[in-house]
Amino acid sequence: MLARLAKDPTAHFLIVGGLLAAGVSAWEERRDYRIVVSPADVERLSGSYVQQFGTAPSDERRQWLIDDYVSREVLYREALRRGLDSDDEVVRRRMVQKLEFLLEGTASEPDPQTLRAFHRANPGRYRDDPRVRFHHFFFADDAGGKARGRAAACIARLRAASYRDARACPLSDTPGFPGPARFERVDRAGLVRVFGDTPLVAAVEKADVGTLPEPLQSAYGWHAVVIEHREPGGTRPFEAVSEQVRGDYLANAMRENRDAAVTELRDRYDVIVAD
Amino acid sequence: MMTSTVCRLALTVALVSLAGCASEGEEIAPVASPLKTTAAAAAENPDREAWFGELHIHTTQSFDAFIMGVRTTPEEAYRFARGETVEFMGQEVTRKRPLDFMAITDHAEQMGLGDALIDPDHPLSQTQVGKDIVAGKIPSTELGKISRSNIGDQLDSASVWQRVVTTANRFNDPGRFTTFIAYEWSSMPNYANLHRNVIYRGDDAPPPFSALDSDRPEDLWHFMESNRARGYENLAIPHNANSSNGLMYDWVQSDGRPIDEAYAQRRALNEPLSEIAQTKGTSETTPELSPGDRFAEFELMRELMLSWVPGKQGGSYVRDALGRGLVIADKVKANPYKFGFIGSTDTHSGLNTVREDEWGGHVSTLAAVVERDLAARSLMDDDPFFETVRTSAGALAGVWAESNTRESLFDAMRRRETFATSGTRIKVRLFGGWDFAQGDINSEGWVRNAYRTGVPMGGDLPVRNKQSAPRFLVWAARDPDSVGLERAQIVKVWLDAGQHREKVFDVRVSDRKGGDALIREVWTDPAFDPDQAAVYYLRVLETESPRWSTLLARRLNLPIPKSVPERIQERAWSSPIWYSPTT
Repeated sequence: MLARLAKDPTAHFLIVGGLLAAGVSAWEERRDYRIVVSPADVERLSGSYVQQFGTAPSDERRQWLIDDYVSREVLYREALRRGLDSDDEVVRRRMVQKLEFLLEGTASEPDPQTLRAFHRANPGRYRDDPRVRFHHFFFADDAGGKARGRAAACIARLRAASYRDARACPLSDTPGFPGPARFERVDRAGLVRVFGDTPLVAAVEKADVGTLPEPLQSAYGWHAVVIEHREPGGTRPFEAVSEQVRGDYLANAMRENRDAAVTELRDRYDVIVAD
Repeated sequence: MMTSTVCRLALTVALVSLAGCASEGEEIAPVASPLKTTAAAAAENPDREAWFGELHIHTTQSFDAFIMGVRTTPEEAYRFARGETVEFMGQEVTRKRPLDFMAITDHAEQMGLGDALIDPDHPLSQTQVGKDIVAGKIPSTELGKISRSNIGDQLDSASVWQRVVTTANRFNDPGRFTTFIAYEWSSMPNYANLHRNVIYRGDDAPPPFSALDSDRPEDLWHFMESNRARGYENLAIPHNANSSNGLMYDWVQSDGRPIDEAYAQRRALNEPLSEIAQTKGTSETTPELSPGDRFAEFELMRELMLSWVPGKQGGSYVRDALGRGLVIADKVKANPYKFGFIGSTDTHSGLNTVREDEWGGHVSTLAAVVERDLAARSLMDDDPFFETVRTSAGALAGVWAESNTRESLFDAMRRRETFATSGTRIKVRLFGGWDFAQGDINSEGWVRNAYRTGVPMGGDLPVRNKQSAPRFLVWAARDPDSVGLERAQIVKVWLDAGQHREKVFDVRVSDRKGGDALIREVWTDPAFDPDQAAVYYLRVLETESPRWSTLLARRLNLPIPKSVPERIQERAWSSPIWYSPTT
């Protein structure tokens, strides 16, 4: 049996091949348990240290970085060996993200007609918020908790009077308010800038023209607010937002690149949704 | 033609002296600007409003930011600042509240080099050194040498600068979001930081003057003065005096000669503002310089740039500088250190954040907020070299101006009607005068009245007309998105027999839990001596709130760092008001 095998070239081929394969596998296995830290690796570690800390590592620190790198590499390889990458949501997300980024590619510079068309097709992105004209009387929070009551009294007098000015509320703290007493054409962002993201802003956005809402609270105290006029929002003209349109267009084009690439990749798969 | 090209190159790479170029006069053609902005769209408020912004930020156009891996373009930086969503490390990020204005201040030295290195059509990207830089194969010590080398000769610096100008103009939106044409002059002799940001008022500006042209501030001023003479109004803002080893506000000129009247006047003209706070530390004062100030220890970094050895404190902090200014003015009849305050970030990621909950450590910034691993590194407090954990979450520039336009904001900076905050939107006002009465801060039209009868922050007290002490209207409003105000203080620095002294006065200490929403006080200097020159500024402190490092550690369930305070008191600093016995 052995003699026959010894004469058979096919057997020779198989045996030698088998031995070779075993050798390579053993060598690969050893290599898989070998960690080579090259000068390039050390430079990379030092470089990322400089990025992070703004200064070059000392020799002692460099040694620590190498030790840390080796430990991490060992842990990484062991983790792969135990298959920890296969069922990890964070790893999945990270890899998906990386490929998405690659698939986005770059978009070419659009011409003005293309941008104008994009602006026309997406008016919602370039809307001006509605604006409101109003004035208010301010009652500072520092008056021993009486601010709300003082604002309510001011509102009662305004409701009873035919006028809507300071004669009704002569003792307000409006001059000390950190912002104007009158707003001519202000949108939501402008309101938040002055009053903070407070109940007052939400109420001013909703209240009807001519009404006098109950006292409203800001970050500074209480207010009696007289709503005078509202204008609806509109689309900002292309000239005013051309740069934003360009940015949006490019971002959109990259997203479309990515979606097209994903569709193409999906076509290679049979998708079965099992019952 | 040839002369013009050589000079323009020289302005960026320092082959010949500036004087040689300036003498050519008209030969240095300014970069044409296709746009003219108009302030007509913006409503004007004669009482002026507080606008909040950034005057110091870097993008991928700065070579150091590029080698740190930053690829944020100026366009993305503007878009993020004005409230749009941009992508950063695969995440969509939006700031909570937009900024009102911003100046991108990329380093003049090797500006745009990174772009060239990754542009396959640019010859620099084909060189070995170019490939090595991009591959991260060059040790940091060598990178420093490269940034000081003549590699920039191969850059088309005129077109790089053209891009700075046109991008700033494209994003300038009067009344909504103001941009300034700007750059950073990055002089750092022996690791002492002498950096200045140069800000232009108009729509057009000549290419920058870099530290390769000269590392002496006097030469920078020469360049700025020649700009001004040709209609390009500009000002310079020094920063990180805390890392200047006493050189930023020295007793002498950069060549060692004592400061004279001409130097003092030039400095005050060209540098009307100083940055008092940013991510690499505050520059107000230290407990060592101000033992009587129990709030002096605040976000300090006492070390020199990159070498991290402690620097000399005298001459490195603005309060000390205000005093030195009085001493020098007494001798040479001009005050070199007559400046107002602003805050900014110096962020190198291109994305401005100033809130404690948006900061993740220097450079990595937002990255650490989104990546737990980077956060853990940022929060390490046992690193003997440079503890990222000690960086500050950034600061804001506040400007009192009629409208949010280049003209209005710049003119306010020129007259020093500015303030700084450590990041929150505290608003502070300070008026000085002789005739203010107790009710003058809460009456109808008080602001207009204060402007008429007194001077705002940044100004000089009017001539003393009666035998009384100066009075100050002290006004502060909390940030609606932060905590209340704990106290308002006046810091007084004065000249006493040739020496400068200082004292901190509490003007208001809140008796309310959670602090005040508004502070309105009239304060009279109780120790006024009409024969002593003096300078006064307002400091307002919030109640305590968690520091960024605490918030980040809590959110990611990491240990709270021990080497920095868990809680801090955010604060605002007004620009000073000066009193001189001779006025």
